Amino acid sequence: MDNVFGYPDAVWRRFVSPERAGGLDGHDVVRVRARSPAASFVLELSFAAGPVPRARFRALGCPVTIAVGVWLAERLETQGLRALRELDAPAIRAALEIPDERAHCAFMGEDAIRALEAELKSRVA
Amino acid sequence: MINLDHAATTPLDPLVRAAMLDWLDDAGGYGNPASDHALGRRARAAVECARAQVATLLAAQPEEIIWTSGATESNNLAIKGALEFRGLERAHLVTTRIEHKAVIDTCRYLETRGVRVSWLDPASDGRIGVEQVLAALRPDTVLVSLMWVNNEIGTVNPIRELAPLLRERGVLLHVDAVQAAGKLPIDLAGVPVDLLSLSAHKFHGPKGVGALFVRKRPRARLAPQMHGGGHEQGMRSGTLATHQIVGMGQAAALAAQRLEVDAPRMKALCARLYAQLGGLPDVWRNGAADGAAPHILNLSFGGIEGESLRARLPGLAVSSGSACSSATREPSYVLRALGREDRLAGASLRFSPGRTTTEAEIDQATREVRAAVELLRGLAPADA
Repeated sequence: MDNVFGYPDAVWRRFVSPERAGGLDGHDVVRVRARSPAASFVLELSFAAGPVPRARFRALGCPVTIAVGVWLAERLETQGLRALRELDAPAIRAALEIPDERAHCAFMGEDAIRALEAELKSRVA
Repeated sequence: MINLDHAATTPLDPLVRAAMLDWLDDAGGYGNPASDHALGRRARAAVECARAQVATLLAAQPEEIIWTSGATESNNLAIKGALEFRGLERAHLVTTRIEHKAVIDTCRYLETRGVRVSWLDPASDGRIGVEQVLAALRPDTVLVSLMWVNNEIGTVNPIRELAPLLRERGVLLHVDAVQAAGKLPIDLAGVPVDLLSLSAHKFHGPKGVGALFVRKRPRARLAPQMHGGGHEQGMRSGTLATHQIVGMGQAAALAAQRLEVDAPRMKALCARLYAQLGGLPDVWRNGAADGAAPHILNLSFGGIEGESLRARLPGLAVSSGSACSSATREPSYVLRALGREDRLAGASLRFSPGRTTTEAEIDQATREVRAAVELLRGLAPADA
């Protein structure tokens, strides 16, 4: 598939082949959503911590939003809880080469990560 | 690449190209049509031949055709010219919220100059009603500007019914006919439109040239917007581009010849497209199906985002209702004016087949669209 609209390579690869799409089930699964009110975009993350972390995403949005979902699910599955501390909007933007005019997609990703962190804390409490 | 974006522009017809090249390659083809010598007279004869060809497409008189650089200039000249000739003070004009930007922005400019503008809202099917226009008229109404065919949704406005009623009331009617020319029969001998804009590249002519029909009897009077040598009966100064004009004339002649073949063919292609896509769940047709222009089909796809849909269709040239270029998306103002919610206005595609589009291309395009819609819906939260 040709990248005729010139998306950053890191975005395009994930948009074309969106791995880890879907949801998870189970009592250990935490599911959160972030929204971009201005654009009506939605990003959902499902995460199950544990010895072998599992993560999935769902997204309604532009190619960058979908790529953010793919990348966050990748990081969560490979880094587990450590990802929660390391992931924020600048990290998302740097990894996916997201330009200024698309920064709101990265902020939505950060919102999803912070919501996940808060939900996990509330479960522990 | 499957081109289903002919409402944006059309490829130059080979016969048009050949006619233009005669005036670019010929050592004696560079004359200024305003010059009074052999070279000039030769160029002028070609320009007048083209003028007659465009007039024939409209069932108008050749002297009623004024050359411009395209429809944006034609619309500016018609609207600003008519209002300025009459005088802007206490002037009123009527237009709609779903005109092309070349009309909307011209009317907004005139608002800054003191002209009062009534902006009509379309019905949910995109149509503007005759009674709606008549109800907006006031004693000081100078002009109604209304497009014949909407460029995004293909809705056809009731120009034939409206024109005589405005004539009776002494109100000028300007029609942006850019999407109508070559797609619908235009009979200005029978329909009393006063001013009508055309663009050559929408019917397989070259870019950079257009025309404005200015009725002679009764005479529609315009203040020129371009001052200079008094060309084009003083309404549009500037040396005429012979090769461009010859191209527009040839394109108009072909459009007139082919209208009865092209229009039903494009209509059948749009119907084929709709038959294959309209049955998908949460797909919405924008604009009235009944009486629509033959070459435009606009669909919204629920449950997905428009930019992602278009990005997954790299082999398809279609126009999309949105782009996520900033935090605030701005879906199509036309679809919003129809009352479409933003999620659907932002996830729309305009399909516009052309003269050379084949059924096989339509079938391939619909396969690609279905696959993209199904994949993107599979990524989205079910209840988003």
